[in-house]
Amino acid sequence: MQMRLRRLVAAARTRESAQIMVLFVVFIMVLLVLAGSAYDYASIVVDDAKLQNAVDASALAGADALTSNQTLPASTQVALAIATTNSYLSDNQVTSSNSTIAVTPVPWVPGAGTPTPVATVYTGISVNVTRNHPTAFWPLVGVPQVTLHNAGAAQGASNMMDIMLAMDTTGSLVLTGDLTDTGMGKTGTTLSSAITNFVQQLNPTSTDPLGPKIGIARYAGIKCSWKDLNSDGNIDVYGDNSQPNEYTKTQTGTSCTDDVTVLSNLTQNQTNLVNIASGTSGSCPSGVPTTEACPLQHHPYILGTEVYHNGGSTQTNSYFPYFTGTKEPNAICALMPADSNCAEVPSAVSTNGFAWSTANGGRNGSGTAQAHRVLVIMTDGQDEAWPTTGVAPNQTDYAFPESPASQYDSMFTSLATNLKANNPDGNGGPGVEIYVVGYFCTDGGSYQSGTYPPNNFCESQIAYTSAPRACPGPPGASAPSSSQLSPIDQLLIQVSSSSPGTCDHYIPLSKTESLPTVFSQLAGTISRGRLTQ
Amino acid sequence: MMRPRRRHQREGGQALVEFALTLSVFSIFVMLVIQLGLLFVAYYSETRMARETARWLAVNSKTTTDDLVATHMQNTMLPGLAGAAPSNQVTGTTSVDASVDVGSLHAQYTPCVTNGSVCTDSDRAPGATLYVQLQYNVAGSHVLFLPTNFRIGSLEVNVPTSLPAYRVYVLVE
Repeated sequence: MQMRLRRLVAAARTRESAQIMVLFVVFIMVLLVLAGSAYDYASIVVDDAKLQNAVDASALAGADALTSNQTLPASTQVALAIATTNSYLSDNQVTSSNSTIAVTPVPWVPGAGTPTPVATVYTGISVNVTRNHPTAFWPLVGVPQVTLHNAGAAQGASNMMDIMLAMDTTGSLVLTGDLTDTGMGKTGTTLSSAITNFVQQLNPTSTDPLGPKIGIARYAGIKCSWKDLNSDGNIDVYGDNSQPNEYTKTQTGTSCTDDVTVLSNLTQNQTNLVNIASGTSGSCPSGVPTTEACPLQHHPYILGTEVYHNGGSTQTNSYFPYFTGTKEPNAICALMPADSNCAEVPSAVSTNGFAWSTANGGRNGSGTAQAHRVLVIMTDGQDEAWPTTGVAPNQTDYAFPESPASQYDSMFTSLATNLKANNPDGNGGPGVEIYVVGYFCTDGGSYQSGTYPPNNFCESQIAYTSAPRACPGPPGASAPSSSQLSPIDQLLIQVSSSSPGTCDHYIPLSKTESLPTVFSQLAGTISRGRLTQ
Repeated sequence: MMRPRRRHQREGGQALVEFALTLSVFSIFVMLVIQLGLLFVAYYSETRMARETARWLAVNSKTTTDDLVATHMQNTMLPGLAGAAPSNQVTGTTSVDASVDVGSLHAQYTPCVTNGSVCTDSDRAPGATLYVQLQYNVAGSHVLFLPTNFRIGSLEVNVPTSLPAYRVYVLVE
């Protein structure tokens, strides 16, 4: 009996049938565990992404509700914001039945030098969501569910902004088809559409007293008297530099006048703003010159008959000088005429005074009642006199009756520095944040350093690069090196409120691109709430 | 007298047969795992694209026509999703949402309803809520390489080829 048992055990040890079956089952189990883990992990990743989407969308909506209801009592304001946040969470399938939700209003923390408000002001929303994600295979290893925790916070839009637009309306914009000129029979709606888009995107309305206010100014060059060198009653202009100075400020006792107009003070009247930009003369608000606005257009400056001398040849026309060139300091002089750099602004502009003053619609209360001041400058050229535009940057344009163009550049930067500094008008208040949109032609396909062909106004080197450009670039990104920026690029970056070493407030683009789209985006950049966590 | 050979002791080729059986099952299993991974990548991309498109639309709600939405999606296809020129476009009205196919991606979203170049639909106004819903059909794309139709006798099984639709709601800014 014992012998038989031993034989059976020995036989069992040597039999191999079904061995592969055992191995197969073991491998399959291992593979099933691995596949199950992969499935569970992937489903967790997807669910986590969905939850983060919901949290971000709800935080932005909640922060927007918070700042949109600033006129209400704080408790009501917060309750509305939390309700909005929960509503967006619910829309995106996150509810209290499947998640643990915590929505918290975030108080505004004043920056250095800004007075602390008497009552707490809430400007942000923080959202924390915890959700249990059931697993399909991990229960086999004792993990029946995984806890997902997603958080987000959003800062509400800075709605209380006083924004002035300073639009270049020089002749080059007429010639490129972007601006209307009735005298030349040209219709161009690019600038009109850009302003309209900007206004509609910001959506100012008198029903929201803490919402944005917008004003519009236009500028070009200078309006001067001209020399009649041979006393024949005509104006003489020399294209060959044989005369040092054709403009005159003193010959007839008259001075040059800056070609600037304030078309609208700061207002929340969206209809008026849109009419000034794109409307008809019949819809023009009272007091706005229909020769310059409704729609926004170039207004020619006509002195009389001119004889243009160029070497041995002469040419005569009866509508001289028509254009006024470009004087970039005018973009700021139109809005801060009391600055010492602005000696030639028209009396109407001078009387109007500082654009962000309370008298001009600015909001200058204490604490949070002080509006954030913004200026958007749009230009397509550089400092130059008309008709002798062929001068290189930082060189003297012999036609200028006063400072050489290089001094116009330094005036421009000085004005910008003064405007950005605190207390720019001597009555307290913060400095103005400046955005500059450079809308340049890019003829010829590539930038040609130091020369002007094929077009005198294609002066931005960075506009020749493809979008998205290095300017304004992603947050915190360094500005391109000086070798990649032409003088006008460097000047406009310096004028803008770009952080040191960056060009985050300079938006160059080519005239082959859409200026209205850029203005829409810029309106969003200026006003939009943002995720902070 | 000849003794009959004991057939059950023959083991030649046994390992080969077992290996073939195991390999086929193992291969199917591995392919299933790869297939599942690709489907998850596609679905993850679908959810991300829905969010990114909705956010972009919320930021540019006034000036983004239905055509531009389709072009934007075509230009921003994420990994795992095959794009193509937009087709089957349904321009939205005040009562019908906009939809378009971009390759195998079917998109449905709050319409523009243009007046000139500006969207006038009230759901595109600042403060409104708009949505973007995406659904990706993996049939015919590089995502799907295993058959989706199985038949044993009269029994036929068809595996759905559309990934679950994902809809995201955002505030118009």
